[in-house]
Amino acid sequence: MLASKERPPDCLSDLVLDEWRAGEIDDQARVAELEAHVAGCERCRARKEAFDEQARSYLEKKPAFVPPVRARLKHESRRSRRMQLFAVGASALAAAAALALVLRTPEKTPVGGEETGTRLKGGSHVAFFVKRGDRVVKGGPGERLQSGDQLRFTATLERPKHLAILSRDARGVTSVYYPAQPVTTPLPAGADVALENSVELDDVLGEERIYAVFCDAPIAVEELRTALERTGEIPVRQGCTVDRSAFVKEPKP
Amino acid sequence: MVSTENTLDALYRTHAPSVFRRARRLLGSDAEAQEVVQDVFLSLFERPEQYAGKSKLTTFLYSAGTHACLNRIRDAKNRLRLLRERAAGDPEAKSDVGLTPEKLSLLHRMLERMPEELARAAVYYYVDDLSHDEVARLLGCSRRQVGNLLKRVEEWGRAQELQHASQ
Repeated sequence: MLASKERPPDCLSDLVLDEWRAGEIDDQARVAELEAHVAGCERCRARKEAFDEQARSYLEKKPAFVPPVRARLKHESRRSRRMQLFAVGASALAAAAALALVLRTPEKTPVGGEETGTRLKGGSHVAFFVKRGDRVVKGGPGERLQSGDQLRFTATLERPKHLAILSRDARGVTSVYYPAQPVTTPLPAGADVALENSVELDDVLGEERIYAVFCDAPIAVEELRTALERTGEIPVRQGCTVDRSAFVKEPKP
Repeated sequence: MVSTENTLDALYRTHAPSVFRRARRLLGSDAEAQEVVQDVFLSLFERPEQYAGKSKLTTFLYSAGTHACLNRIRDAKNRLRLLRERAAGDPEAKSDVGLTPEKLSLLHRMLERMPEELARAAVYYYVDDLSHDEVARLLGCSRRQVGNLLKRVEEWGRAQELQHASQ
């Protein structure tokens, strides 16, 4: 009716291959049997190799599961209740930090030349925490946020650098999220250094793109913002790198 | 039971590719398959107690992934989107399972109205190409019951074809 059975009766099913690949077959004799079969069966060997390759390729594109903020807030709330039961004191921020979901920047491009100097693992990047009501969680790439959420950025720098964080909302309007001053001052090297001030999200819905610009020299922030608004891109500048990411703004339920 | 996010992350890296592969094969769409992965792991994140650790996680995820795919096929808006995506593609192009877009559409038309138990058995047997024993393990029933379910799937399919032809 729907499809004919294609697998020869002696060949391994996808279910068996998946269980084997996931390390769920405890019986070593059975594992040896599977290995022997795959070694002598072209179809199963090719299928297993294809699964391995598909998994590698998939995880390159989607390396981690990032639950939406709403779910994490709920989860965090449950965790906090459990913590109270066991009388364990911990701030929401510390609990959120335990989530260890760093805003990994999917697109990182050197602007106007190679970056020099020793890089920390992962290079310079920013992350952010989201405050909704009295709950705080760490944000992730492609995050679904709400109008009224407050964002607080952190920066990881392998050496002192200038940093500007700008955004471009769904209407193409640009804003400066960091710094508050017109020209940047260098930030010290360090991991997850909290930046001053937080940002409250407005009610423009849709995708908002975030640009974190790291430079060796001071950045004239307003100049950068108008260039972004005019061209939709950060202008090329020697000695700078740009981390791009995005989140989606949704209405409050 | 999946109790921590670190654990969930490790499980994601081990299992998400196979959840995606099955969903993509059944739905014929990368974007929809990715939504299924998100649904399945979000559900585990929100309600870790649903996986009690009594079966292998792969078994649990075959079941959860199938359920999520069937929901998407039955959702009218998603169905239309899947149809449009297939209409835009090459009609002779085959998916990973060897189904042309036309056959995939036929499969979806049947699954969207088929009773849940039959639909699950049909997916495991016809799409995943599993044996009666394996379908029985996934459904938690006997091999004989699987035979009966598949017989009912065939009867149901024939009745639908007849109904379709008479319209």
